[in-house]
Amino acid sequence: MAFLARNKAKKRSGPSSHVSFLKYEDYRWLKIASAFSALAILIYALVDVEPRPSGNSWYGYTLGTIGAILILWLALLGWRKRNIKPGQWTLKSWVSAHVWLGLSLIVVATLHCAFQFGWNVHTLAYVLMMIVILSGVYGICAYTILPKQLSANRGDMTQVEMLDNLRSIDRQLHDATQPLSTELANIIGASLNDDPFAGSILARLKNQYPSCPSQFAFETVGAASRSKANGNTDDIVRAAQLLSRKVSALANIRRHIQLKAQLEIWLYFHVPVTFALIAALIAHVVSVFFYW
Amino acid sequence: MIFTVHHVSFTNDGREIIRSKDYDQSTLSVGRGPGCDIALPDVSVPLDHARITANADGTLSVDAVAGAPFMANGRSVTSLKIGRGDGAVINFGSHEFIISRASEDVVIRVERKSAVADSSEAKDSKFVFSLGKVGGKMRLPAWILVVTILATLLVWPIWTWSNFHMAKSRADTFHADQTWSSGKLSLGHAALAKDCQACHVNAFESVRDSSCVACHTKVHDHADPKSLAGAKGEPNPFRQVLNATSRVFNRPENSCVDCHMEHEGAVSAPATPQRFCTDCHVGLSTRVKTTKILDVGDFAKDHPEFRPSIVTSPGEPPTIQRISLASKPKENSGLKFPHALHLSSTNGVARMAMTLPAYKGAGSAGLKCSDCHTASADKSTFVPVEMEKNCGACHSLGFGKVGNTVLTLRHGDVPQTIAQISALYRGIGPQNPAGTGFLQGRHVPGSSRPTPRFDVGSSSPDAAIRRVFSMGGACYECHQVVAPANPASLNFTIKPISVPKHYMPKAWFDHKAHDTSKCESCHTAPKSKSATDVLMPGIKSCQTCHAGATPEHDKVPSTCSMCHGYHFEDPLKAKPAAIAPKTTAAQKRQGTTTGKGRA
Repeated sequence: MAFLARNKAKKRSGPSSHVSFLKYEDYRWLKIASAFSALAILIYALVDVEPRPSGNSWYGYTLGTIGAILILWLALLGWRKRNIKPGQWTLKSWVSAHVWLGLSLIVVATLHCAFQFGWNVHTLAYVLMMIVILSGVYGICAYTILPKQLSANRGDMTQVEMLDNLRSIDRQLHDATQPLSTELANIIGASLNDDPFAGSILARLKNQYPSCPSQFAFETVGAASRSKANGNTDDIVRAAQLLSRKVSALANIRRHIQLKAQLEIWLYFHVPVTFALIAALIAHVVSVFFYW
Repeated sequence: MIFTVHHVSFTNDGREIIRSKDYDQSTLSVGRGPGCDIALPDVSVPLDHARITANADGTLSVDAVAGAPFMANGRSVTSLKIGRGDGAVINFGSHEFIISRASEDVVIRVERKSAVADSSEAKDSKFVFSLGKVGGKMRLPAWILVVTILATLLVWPIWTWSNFHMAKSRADTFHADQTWSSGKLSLGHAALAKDCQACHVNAFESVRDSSCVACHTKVHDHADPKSLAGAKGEPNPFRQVLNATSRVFNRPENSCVDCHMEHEGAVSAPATPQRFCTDCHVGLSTRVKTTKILDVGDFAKDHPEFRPSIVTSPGEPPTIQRISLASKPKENSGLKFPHALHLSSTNGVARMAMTLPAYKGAGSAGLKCSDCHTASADKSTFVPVEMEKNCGACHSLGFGKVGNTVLTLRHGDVPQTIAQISALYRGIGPQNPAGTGFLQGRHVPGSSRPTPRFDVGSSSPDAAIRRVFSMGGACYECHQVVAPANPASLNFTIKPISVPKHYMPKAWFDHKAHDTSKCESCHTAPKSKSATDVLMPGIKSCQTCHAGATPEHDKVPSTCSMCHGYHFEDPLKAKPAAIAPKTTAAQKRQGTTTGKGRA
């Protein structure tokens, strides 16, 4: 506990320089979680549980209780991040503890069940827990790697500015299209009416939009602008230039969408499966004591 | 006719702005082209799209110029006739034309109904860039999972439990509470896999002994419960905490399930941990002063020398005492049998064995243990030795011959033996009883010379009878004969053969598990010259291969339960019936054993 108290004083008054949640307070929660896991493994190795280690032993019940409390506390992060209020624990310290203690849950739960698995509610709870943890591990990786790429991609632009830029291009493109032939106008119209945010989850993750009307318009109008057969070339060239800008802006937006999708996709497993895990945990605990 | 066109647009705060223009002409052109009367800045509208014509009869005609259709009153058309005084709603691309009449004039309200481009529409940047836009809310799948799991794995099993509460058995199909099973049941309980209620009776109540004894009706307590409580001693503080916790969770101490853990896999019921024995038996004498049970701990270090059941006096009943092998006890079973003589590979016994078809397999090595000691069907023990079957091949009881038929004394029946010999002499005369020549030719097994020891050919039946029961006689050879007090009497009796049913009454031994070893590696029979030798091996013999609970190199870890039971009845309480001379073969089989089953 002295370890916990040591950094208490400087917790809220630290320098403004960014420290990752992983390294928070000089890896304090990594150290705590590692020490806790090592202790759990050591006791598991030393304690002679007969006839074989299992959840149905004093050590099994002890680890099970710790694990269940840990799971509920880890799940509380979802509540904590929505409740911003002053206190001893910053959100970053919560996240840091959430990550490292969450990882130690692999040790706690595995030793709790003593490597006994089957087609039952107990193993279901374990599997759901592992899905939550592994999706969380993905989340850690994503939050470590992707933010840099995200800011590199968008440069100085904010999301609102990205939208404004596209809106501006579209308005100019709309005006530039007015004198064009019906055929070209229809092609550009499809681009104007296209919603760049309509792509499926898969399209967002893979950044693949094979039938993009803007890309098609860019290619078609670009070709027309280079063709001498078309009259009124200046108007077409102007539209082609605007389409070139639009395609470039879209690429930027879509890469941003992709990075955001990669940054968020794990939550679609982490959060609902956490609720499923809590349900399975309730069924697991009740069943154990019901058929005691 | 005058066309009045109202161009409607909206400010950011939704206010309507109308710009109106009158056209005093009979036809209006509609299109994207700047030359059109009504020029629509709409990329989905052709440059020259349609004409609106006021006809002389007061009707209106709307006609597409290049065949590109437009929407009129919700239908796609290329031409529309609007009756005198009627109106219409027409859509050209994103623009809506509402045509109405004001006396003789036509009023057209033109309004753009959709944005110039998709991007022109207001977008919440936080939302559209997020995966949430297409992924939807996580709440719904979370709730579906929660409800599904709780319904199938909590509510359904509880419903199943309530349906079959106190039921004797259940149908051989899936039952929802099986999903709660933490592991397969042991082989002995495999049939109960779908009958959870057989053991788990009441909710939130640990399995009670009543569930166990419902089937295990013959299992009894290890000892008097009061003695057991006294034997246990004060638990250590840690155990006290565990016991207190168990009480809080409605789990009574000293229940069957304390030792017999289930759901540990489809194997034989796991051996009871040594702790359950040693908790009481280590230092038992200090807690239970009156006990006759020796203190015992781990097999490797703290186990006393074996104390087999030794018959010290044959009879009905025999005197059986448990005597430590350390004091080199002598057994008096009533039988005279030198193992060494019979297992020799060089003497007359060995030579005779070679001549007998039943022992041909013995070859030049003479008799083997297995020639007399036959393994039981499951190979774990041995069937009792029988005189006729196992000894009779050599030790013939033939005493006369009629034709080619050998007359044989009835083994185990003294009055019959006396009667048989008497009958031989009756009415024939003492000098030459029928077939007595055969008797005179009898010899000891393996001996080439006839010997008077077996010779019953005497001048009178009384002399012949006395000879059989006296030193050198056929009975006297193996049995302890009790001669009548009156020398003139023929009332001979034979002491019963008393062999303990179990040499080791408190333990069991499986010979099959040891069939890779030779008999003589444990039993020193080849060196035993007298039946009084106790051939049970001592603890050191076992300890050469068996470690205690702690594994040792090249040794078998052996906890108490490898040899000892907890609930088994003490075989000494059911002492073996002595083998009286008049008992039938069936009775003999019941009463005798070679002591191999529970050695």
